[in-house]
Amino acid sequence: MIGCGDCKTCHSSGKGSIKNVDYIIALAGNANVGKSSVFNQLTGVDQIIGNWPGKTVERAEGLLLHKGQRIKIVDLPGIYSFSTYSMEEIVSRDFIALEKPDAVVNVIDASALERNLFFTLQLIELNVPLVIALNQTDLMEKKGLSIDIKKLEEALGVPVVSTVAIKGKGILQLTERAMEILKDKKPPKILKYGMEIEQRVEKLVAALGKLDMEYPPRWLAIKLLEKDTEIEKLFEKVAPKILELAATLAAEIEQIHGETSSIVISGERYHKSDMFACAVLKTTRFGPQKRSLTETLDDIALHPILGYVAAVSVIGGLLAWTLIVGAQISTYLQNILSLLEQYEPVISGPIQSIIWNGAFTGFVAGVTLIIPYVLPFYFILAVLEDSGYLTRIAVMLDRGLHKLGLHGKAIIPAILGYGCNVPAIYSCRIMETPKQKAILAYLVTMVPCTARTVVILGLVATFVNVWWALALYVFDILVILVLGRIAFKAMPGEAVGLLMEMPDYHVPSAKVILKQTWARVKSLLVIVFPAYIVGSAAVQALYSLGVLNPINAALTPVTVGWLGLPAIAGILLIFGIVRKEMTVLTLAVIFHTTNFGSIMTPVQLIVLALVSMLYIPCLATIFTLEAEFGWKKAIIITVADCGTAIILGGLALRLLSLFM
Amino acid sequence: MQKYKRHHANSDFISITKLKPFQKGFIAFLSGNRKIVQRLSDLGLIRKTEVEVIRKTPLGGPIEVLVRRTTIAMARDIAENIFVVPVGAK
Repeated sequence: MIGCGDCKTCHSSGKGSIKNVDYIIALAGNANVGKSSVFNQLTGVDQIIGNWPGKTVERAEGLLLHKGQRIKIVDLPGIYSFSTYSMEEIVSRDFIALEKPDAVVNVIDASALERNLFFTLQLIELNVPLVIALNQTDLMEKKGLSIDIKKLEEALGVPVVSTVAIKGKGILQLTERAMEILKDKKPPKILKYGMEIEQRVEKLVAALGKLDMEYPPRWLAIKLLEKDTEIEKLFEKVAPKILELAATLAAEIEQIHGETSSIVISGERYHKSDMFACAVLKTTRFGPQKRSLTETLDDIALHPILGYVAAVSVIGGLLAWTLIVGAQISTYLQNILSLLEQYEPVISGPIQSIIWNGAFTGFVAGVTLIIPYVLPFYFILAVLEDSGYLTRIAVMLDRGLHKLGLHGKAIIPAILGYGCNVPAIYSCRIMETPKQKAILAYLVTMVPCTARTVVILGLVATFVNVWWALALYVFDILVILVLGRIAFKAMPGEAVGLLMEMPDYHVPSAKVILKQTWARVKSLLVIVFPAYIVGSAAVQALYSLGVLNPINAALTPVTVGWLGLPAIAGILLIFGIVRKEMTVLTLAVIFHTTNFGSIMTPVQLIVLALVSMLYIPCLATIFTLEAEFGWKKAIIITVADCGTAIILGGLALRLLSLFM
Repeated sequence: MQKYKRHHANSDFISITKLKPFQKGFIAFLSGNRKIVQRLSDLGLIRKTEVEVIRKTPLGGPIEVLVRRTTIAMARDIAENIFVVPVGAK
């Protein structure tokens, strides 16, 4: 890894951190302001994308080399406020308040100044050395607006640099201003709110004076007045008196305004940002606004009929990629790699060659999963995301997903699941509440990924007919809808509806998309390859040593008795835990034939495909579930999937036997 | 929040979902889930702020609202709890 110094952890786990740095700068700002463009402009190829410790929130960091100094850039999640609405907000504010970066670069969207300054004011409350990157100034000019930067600097008491990050404009000046701020470490001046708030903030600050808290006192005082639950927890044991005082003061504010104190304070911040915006903004073009490209495109993308057509075509296109193009590239790669070693599992002969073959086929399977499917999937997703179209699909499909306690954004992981469940489960973090994240991940494990498509096509489409294969896909969607509904009702926790900003469309930046795709794939490699290589070698070795036979025998009542499958099915399903397509590959090896129609009845083929589709998330998926949700949830989901597969498989056998 | 509603009982506010596309209004108050109300406030839907309905998706789908130069899409049930005084109404 270039520029990573003697860091030993990052390349092995993907969760490490850049070491030996002179300074740390955090990037903060709203979503859709071009923050990732700024991040990519500031840092080189060497980015680390991982998780915040113990949280399902993505953490990205990179290294900026400037005049011989190493500066770590930490890209905080795109958020609108430092409240406790989402984990992203809590992670970001704790990073700034507790880990105290040397400076914060606040990226703001020049064409939505008021809303962005609302967040800037909260950064100022955190009392951290600050520089503002006034981004997308080109788009602002197009909209007929201009901003007096000097005046904005004076009003806020913070350096402001005009940037067009996507084109690299202003990045050097931004770096230089940030370096100045780093060195003096001067926090911005205090911006005072209305008197009735400010007096109470001062009272609380005075009361806090005796306590030694890690957070800045003024910020704590404001959060206490807002009745911020996370901050209240800090005081429960240490200083309950403070909480009493804060409650009285907050009640007074509520008495004056007739609204919850936190809403009053948000209103106060907006009042202030409106004032700043009003003072520095100028309209350069008068008269009726030209219809923007976004408005024209949205007339189609959000049209009551065309909108659905467009959404379905895009999703259909993605799936078609998986089934047609991806499968072809995958076969091609397999053919090349099988020149080196047989792709089918070897399960007899010397143990070394069995293990070698297992490890090798695991490696091939990883390569043929990631290159044809995952890489293009991430790439297309990044294009859709960056262009702004994904939010439109989410709006169009919101209604249907609402029934599952989810909302429009859930469509992204669902689609990704058809490629590979692993990235799909990672992407569940776009949902807001833990309940929604967990339900979505559970549903994703039932989405037939490409490996399962191999099984469905290999068993059913080839030896029964293609309509039964399609029927399995449709049936799978029904199962997901029904179980999603049940899970939503059964699981405690809250679910929130769709509430998101609709960014303007823009031509995606190739640099951002390629970097994002690569960084995400990189974090996937560390899960898929070990699971595939070690898992395949282990399961083949265990089988050839005869260890799996007693397990298979123990499974017979279920596999043979209830599911009506051949006695060998238990072995197939155990192999399938490592990689789903192993069920078919192993079947071919054990029976020395690929004509499965000669060894199983059509009903058995359908039941085996159905069970393989649902019965267990593969090893890599289980590890991903564990990484994102912990062992408990990973096990619950695994058990639920197995139960579903067994129940539905047995029912299908009995039902299908009636007429097949 | 109840008290506040009574206080405003005489002004003619309506739910933002009742506005027609491209009709404007000023926010009177927000009700419902505390967390959602906070989120809406953080997104700039503050009392007395001007808002404009841009589009309503069919079948009770989300509605698009323009506030402070930003378009926000929100589920219909969230929007139902946003009350506005339509522009032109006294």
